[in-house]
Amino acid sequence: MVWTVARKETREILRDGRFRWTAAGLLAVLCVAPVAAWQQWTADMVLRTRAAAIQREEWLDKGRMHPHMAAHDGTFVFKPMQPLAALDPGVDAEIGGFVFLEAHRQNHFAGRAAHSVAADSALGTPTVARLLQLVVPLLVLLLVFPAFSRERERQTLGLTLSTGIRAGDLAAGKFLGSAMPLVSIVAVAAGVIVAATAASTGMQALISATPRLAVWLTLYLIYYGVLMLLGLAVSAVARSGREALAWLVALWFANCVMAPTVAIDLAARLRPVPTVAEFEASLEQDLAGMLPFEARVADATSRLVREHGVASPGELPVDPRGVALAEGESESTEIWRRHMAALFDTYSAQERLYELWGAIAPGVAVERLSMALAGSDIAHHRRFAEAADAYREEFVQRLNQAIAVNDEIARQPGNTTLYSRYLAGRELWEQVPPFTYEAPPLSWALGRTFPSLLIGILWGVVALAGLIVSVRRLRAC
Amino acid sequence: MFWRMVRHEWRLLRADRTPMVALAIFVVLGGYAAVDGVERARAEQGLASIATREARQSLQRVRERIAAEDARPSVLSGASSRAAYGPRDPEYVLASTRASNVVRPPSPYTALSAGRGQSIPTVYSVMTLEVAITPYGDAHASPGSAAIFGRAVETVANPLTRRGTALDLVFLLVYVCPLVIIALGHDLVAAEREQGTLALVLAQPVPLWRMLAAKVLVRGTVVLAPLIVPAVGAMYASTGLAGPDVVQRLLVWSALAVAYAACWFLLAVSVNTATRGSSANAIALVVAWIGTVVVLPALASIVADARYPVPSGIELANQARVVRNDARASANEEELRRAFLERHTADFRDQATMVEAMRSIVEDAPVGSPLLDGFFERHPEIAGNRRFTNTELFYVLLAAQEEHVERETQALRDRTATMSAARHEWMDRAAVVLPPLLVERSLRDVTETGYRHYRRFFDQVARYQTAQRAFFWPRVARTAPVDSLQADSIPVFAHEPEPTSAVVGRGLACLGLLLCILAIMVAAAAAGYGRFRVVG
Repeated sequence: MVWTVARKETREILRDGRFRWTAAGLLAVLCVAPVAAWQQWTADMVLRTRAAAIQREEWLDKGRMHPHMAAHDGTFVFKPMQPLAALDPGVDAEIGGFVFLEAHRQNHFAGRAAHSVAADSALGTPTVARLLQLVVPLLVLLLVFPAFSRERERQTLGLTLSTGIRAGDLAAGKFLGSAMPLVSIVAVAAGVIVAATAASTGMQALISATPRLAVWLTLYLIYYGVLMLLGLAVSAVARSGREALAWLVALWFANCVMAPTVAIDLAARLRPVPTVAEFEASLEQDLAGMLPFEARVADATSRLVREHGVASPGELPVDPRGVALAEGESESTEIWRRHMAALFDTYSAQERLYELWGAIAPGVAVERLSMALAGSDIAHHRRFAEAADAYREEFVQRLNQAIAVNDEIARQPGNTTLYSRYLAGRELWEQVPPFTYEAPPLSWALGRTFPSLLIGILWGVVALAGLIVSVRRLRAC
Repeated sequence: MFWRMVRHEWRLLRADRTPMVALAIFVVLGGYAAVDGVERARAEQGLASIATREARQSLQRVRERIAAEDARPSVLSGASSRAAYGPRDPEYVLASTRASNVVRPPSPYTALSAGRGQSIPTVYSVMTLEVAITPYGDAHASPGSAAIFGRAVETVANPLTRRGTALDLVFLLVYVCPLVIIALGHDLVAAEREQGTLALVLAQPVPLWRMLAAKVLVRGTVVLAPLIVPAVGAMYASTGLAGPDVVQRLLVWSALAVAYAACWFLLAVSVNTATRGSSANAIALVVAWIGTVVVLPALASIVADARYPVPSGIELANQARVVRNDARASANEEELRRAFLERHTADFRDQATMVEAMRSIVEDAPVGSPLLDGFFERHPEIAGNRRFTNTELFYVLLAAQEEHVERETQALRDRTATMSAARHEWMDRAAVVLPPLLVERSLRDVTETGYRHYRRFFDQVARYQTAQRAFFWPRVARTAPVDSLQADSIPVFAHEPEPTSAVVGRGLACLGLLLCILAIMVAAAAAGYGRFRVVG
């Protein structure tokens, strides 16, 4: 009986010209968007890979210079693009894709796409995720709103129930019947996404991205299932098709359009981020508290003389200036990291508040999970930024160590200069390894989005319970 | 009779719970957007005024110090061709003033439209002497401009908040208002027809169009009031409605809002000619909404990206890095040693001591290298006899290097500007057939929060940078003292807003286009009602 109802429901939907047109339009967009996104992703990936190789060559071919000048000459590192970021770029466009690493400071990431291209509309860039979060839910609700309400309007609901069919079976049939056309659309879109992923990244990358891609697609399917259950519940209690439609469109608008906007806006008000002036003033204050370089050199000199048991600084096996540079670097790095960590912690606090909104609007939880699975959320960015800074400290300290060991001229008595005539070359630059970064596994991403996962499961339970309760109230007359 | 119908419609509307709930939510959102807009406008104005004041005050202090120095008889009597390190030294002037900090002026109409204000930095440090593109890479932080002028003072706001849609009045008008119109208008005639009252009403001496006009007038008023009243209030709170410019723009903004709402009402009227019932009408209208507001603009944007790909910032940063190193390679090694290494071998106890130590190194033999030869050909005013102190050489080399980077990256930057402009024009063309896109772009334009406004600002900054260099480069290359008279002509960035007449003209052109669309829709609706069956 369930399948009979499902077949009838599917047939009715497929016969509806409005559905066919809407589905065709949606499919067109869902097929074009991933292909365009992957094209862009491939171009960006090639660019970043080539840029990283060129930067490495530039680093090695910089010629002869003092290591501290080389530390200021610095290098760029480029954030490797996660395959799923093509589908859901998350905050990438607002954060930037590369950073300049140099001595004494952590620079902000550069190359923000949001800087170079003016947005076309307030709804933002039309990414695949945006379409899946905004457009498909509306289609889902339009599919299910007449399931019970139209039958009630036509007065066929009583007739159907009087045949002895259980209300639960009727609801299951309507769920399956409405799900089939939708699953067909999503399956075609998913096929295009997988094919485009394979064509762009190659089979090897596809295989490594498969766990995230599979969970990502499953997330959306479950989300649509929850919306369908909610839609059926509303349809079962609404007095007319018009009323069901009004409530479901309102639900869609609140869930998909308003909630994400209001949620992050309120989170930002409750846990405000300092202004750039406040942030920089606080940072400058801490940096200003550092020991001046010359005093640090004097401290290091007396300490080293004591430790090595030599009569004068000239007899030291190491250059106190290199040691002072290394100590100063450690201290400034610690200050920068403390401030950046506080900033990121505030972002995380805002994100947690934002996440709580998922309890009111499942769309928020889906948006959060989608970004996390795509590797384009703030947590992923923070992990990369910390890795880049660890690399920065490592290469700067390696150069400082070279100064300490090799800068014999600087160790000459009476020399008070910061830079000596010690010039290093390729042999030192090669000692700095190229920057490598490995994206975290899927479990890492899921572990950081546990509240959203829990909220998603709760929504599934609530939607199912809501449908059961509303269907139990159905009467034959 | 007409006004009696209007009153009757209003009573009917009040009695219907569902549209009244939608309206109540819309009123709350309108109020929230207005209050948020006023707060945003004040915050942006506050930030900009602090930065502008700091820039002005620092320049004023520099001018006062130069004036005081000029007044000292010892300096005047013992004048040398090169400035001593101090207030009259061009290097000191540059280091002491924040005049090169350019502040992006916030739009006075931010309360109506947030635009990209959250994403695009407010303060830029215009590089006069240092290499502009590297090392920070984001030097072309301008939407589509070919200008490279320095480093943006980055915002530290959560990228998640910057990514989100700003809940401003433009967003409410373009995206939310049509949905409220659909809630109120999907059953304009269909409900009466379904209830069987349409035939009764039309049996009275009341033409159908008059009945529709009454219904649309009531609904239009209750939909537009929650937008236009907060808009006027927000502008009053943020600008005091002072000046004809504000009033003119607000009038154009409101006229566009009315015309846009009229488009959706006319669509609802047309859809009501179909005799498939209110639910079917609502679905058709919601599908039209998602098609014209979300799907088609998204497709247009995807096509624009494919046809006019704007080069990535990575490409520019990378290319700049390579040509910078090329420039260094094409410089004379001895010159580099003199300018860079010797500079840093100076005593580092403090800035003044270091600079004086550098100054004590007298000018050497005439300099010359592939990098400098080309630079001097283009700048004979800097070349002179090609003899420089090490400090001067340091800056000459930096300027030469920077110019080299700019020249070598010119093609890429031009491509960025061309592609960005072409992309924008393509979206403008697409907007002609997509009223939501047309209205949103026009409203952002009228409120100075759109692409044109940012582009104009960055073009002005580029011109300012040219003036800044023309003033400082020759002086720094010769350590030429800056006297009071010259200090008064230090370039200061002053943003020139676009004349309101031009902005309003574009807004009116958009309004004209909307009226054409409206005329077509009226004709379509009239044709539909010509075939409309009152019963059956």
